[in-house]
Amino acid sequence: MVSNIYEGNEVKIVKIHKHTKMERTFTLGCELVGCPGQFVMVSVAHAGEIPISISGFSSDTFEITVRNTGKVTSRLFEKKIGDKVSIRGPYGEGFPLADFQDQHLLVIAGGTAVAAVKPLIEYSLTSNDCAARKLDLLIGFRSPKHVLFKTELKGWEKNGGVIVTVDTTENDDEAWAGGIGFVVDFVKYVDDLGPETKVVVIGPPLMMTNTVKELSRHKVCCKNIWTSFERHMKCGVGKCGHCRIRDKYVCVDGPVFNYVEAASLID
Amino acid sequence: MYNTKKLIKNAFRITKVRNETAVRLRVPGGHMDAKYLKVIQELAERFGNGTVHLTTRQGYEIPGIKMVQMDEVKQCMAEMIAGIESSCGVVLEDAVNGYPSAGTRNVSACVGNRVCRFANIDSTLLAQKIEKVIYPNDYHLKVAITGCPNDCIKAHTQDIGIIGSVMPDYNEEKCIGCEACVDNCKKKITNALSVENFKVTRDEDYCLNCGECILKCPMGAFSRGEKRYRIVIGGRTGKRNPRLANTFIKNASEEVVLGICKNVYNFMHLYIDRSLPKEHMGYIVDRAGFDVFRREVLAGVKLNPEAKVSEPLNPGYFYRRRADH
Amino acid sequence: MRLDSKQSEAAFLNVVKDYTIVAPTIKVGEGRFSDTDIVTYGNVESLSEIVFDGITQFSAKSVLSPIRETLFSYENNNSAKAKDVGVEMKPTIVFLRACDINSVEVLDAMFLKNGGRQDSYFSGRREHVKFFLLECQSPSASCFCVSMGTSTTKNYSVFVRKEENGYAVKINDDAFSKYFSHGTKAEIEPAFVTEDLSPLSIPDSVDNSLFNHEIWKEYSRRCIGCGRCTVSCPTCTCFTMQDVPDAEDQRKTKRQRIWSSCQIKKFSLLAGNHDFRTTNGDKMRYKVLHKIVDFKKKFGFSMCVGCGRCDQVCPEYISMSKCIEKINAISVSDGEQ
Repeated sequence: MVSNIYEGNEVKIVKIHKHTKMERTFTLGCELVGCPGQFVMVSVAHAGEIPISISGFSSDTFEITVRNTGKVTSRLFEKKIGDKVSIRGPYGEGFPLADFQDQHLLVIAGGTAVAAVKPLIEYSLTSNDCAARKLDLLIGFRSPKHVLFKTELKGWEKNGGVIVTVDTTENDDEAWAGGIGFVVDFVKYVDDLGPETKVVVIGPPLMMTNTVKELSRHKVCCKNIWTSFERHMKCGVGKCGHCRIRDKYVCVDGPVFNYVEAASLID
Repeated sequence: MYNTKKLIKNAFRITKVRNETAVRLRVPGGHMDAKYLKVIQELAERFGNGTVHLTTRQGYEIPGIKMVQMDEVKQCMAEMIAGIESSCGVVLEDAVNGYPSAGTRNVSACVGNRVCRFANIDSTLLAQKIEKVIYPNDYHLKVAITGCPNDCIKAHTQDIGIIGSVMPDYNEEKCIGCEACVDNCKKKITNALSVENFKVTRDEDYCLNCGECILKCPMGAFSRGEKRYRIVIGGRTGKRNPRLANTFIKNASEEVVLGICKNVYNFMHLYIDRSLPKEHMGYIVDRAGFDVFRREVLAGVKLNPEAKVSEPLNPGYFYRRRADH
Repeated sequence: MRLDSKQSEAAFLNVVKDYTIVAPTIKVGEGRFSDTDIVTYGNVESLSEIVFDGITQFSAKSVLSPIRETLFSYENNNSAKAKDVGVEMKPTIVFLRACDINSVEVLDAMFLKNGGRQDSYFSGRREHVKFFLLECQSPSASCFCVSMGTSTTKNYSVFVRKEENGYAVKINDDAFSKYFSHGTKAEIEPAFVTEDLSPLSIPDSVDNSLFNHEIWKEYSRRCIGCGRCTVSCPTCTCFTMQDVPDAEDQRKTKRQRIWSSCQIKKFSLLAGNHDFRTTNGDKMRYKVLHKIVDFKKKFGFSMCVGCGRCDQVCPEYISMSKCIEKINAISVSDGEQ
């Protein structure tokens, strides 16, 4: 009897954190053994199923951070603490933690994508054995009111170089003390960038392309850059075909790809 | 010397050259065996001026015939006109004396589903069936058949225009939700389709039954149901009050189409203005009233369940007319 | 074995008792265009309904991967728990040509191997299906199975040939011997195509420079992105998953997997409206390279089986084989440089 790869497990929502009007983090009440960079398929009954990257692990819960953009996410946003959703996963290849051990690690993230690197940052800050030697963060948001994980950002600042920037402060009432401009313009402010710096870049397609170009200007080796692909996915297990690029399936072979490979993967 | 009334009834014409005529050959449905082209060539070269005019109603008109040769012309074309008419089921008893009437014009048709991908019907075949019902007849009536609402034959300019349509059958189980049908209907037609939860719904009030959803569907989820016809009436050109035809019945069956074509002659017979040499059907409807028209042409016609009868006609437009003085 | 017409139909009646039979058949009046028929796969109940020559409009893949397949159901508005609907299927025989039998390997690779885990719905159907072979005496104008290496097969239970006064069968699977025992003994071998009308060479790999090549611009102008090529293809397996309300009971919901296609809109669209392939030329390139290069890199054999359906169904007369020729010409000239 073949087990059903599309069957999820019901889990309870134990906490909901509202970051912005559009973004919430749901803490789900079960342990998930996974690796930073992996994702889960989240199913909301009567609405459908979508891939969401895991934004946090703990001993008996895990987190997903969701931007409300479609049918499933809007139904998810109607859920309250105690309600259930169904989860499959974790799926995919996460970040190559061993490659970051005792290295200078720079994590660059734009917008909601910060959720996908949050477990990596937390792991790097808390793990005893495989931690990076030095951790720098460069995180960009659209405007001050779009900033996510405000509390976490403060915590991270205690442990390493953190640059938070916003594209603009126009049409935004919140006070802003951080940088203003695209993340690509702030790469130059990261200390000690060099060929051996390990860099994770994640965000909208254009931001990733521009940032990688900027990194190569600072002599960062392509083979030391990793990125995470966001693609349309329906199954998460290499069957539906939507996320295929050439001979790779983002859901199985990714979502994290080394940049050398990523550059050769043309959609 | 010549009886012009009789001559006209025989489908000859009084032309601007005295004693010279032209003959019009009917081609119901606008499609015929190529062998008749030889006869047409012979007629034009032996009796006419060596040229042939293709009429707007899809007939052939052979100009430059001497009136004195009309009997020879009739002899020469007898076999052809009897042959063409018999392919419609019309028996010309006395073909050697030419056409028995010319009032009811050639029933024209687009190329239809014998060739065209858009056509929902064999336009020629229906034209031929209508020819059988309405010809010969002296009342002036223009009927044309078109295979789909693209209306290439300009059915909207006829007294009676028949537009081929189809009842689309939708099978949700075959639909992959690509929305090709919905997008096409929105851009090109009446936006009658919408999609929700991977299911397409069709608003019958707006659907033209043009069949484009069937053509667009890669899966065959939309397929062809019954053939149906939109009957448009009262279209006309002319010197007084031109107008495009209006829908009289949507989704009529073939029986309804043929029944109405037959009955329209009773209606004309009852209400035509006999003080005029001829009167278009649309003017008679305008004068007698739409309700009277509807009653007369639907007498004894059993409407199929999907058939929907529409409301009165638009007035068209009038050429500016000087007040009586 | 040889059976006369009467014996064959009698034998077939017994097969029908035990199996659902899916075979090429003519569907009168079901063509897209008015007053046209189509030859495509459908359920048949007698041998006489089977069309033994020509290419079917659709492949038989819907037997193994239904167009819309319900995977789970939710009983009512409040239920969060999805119930596995599973697979219910009568043992089924599908009449396939060699190319189509080989196409099943592609389905197996995707549903049973890719991602390292098996799809239980597919495997559940797969084990209920047997293949009967239809032979190809000669190639059709659009097919190129010899070039794709898919012109022959041994993977069939029974081979059936229509003859003047009956049918000839070759039985590979003893389970079927009992149905055909009334015939006269004869050694029957199926014919396979040995040469394509237009033989093709298939490039082993392509250079990334091909991605921005002019040829795709031509396809952007010609292709209308309708997806007919992919839905008719025996090896396309992409699907979407949707929660669809039950037609009869709106409180119930079905989670369905529904065929999709890389050629239709929204296939590569992300929430937030970023689309990775927006031109039809890019979609064509994505499909064609998968068929001849990308799949092969992963699984060791080509995805395309050269059945020629995509050429036959394209309303714009776009030809897969012509496209392969173009790619090959580019790859060869690049290699020479």
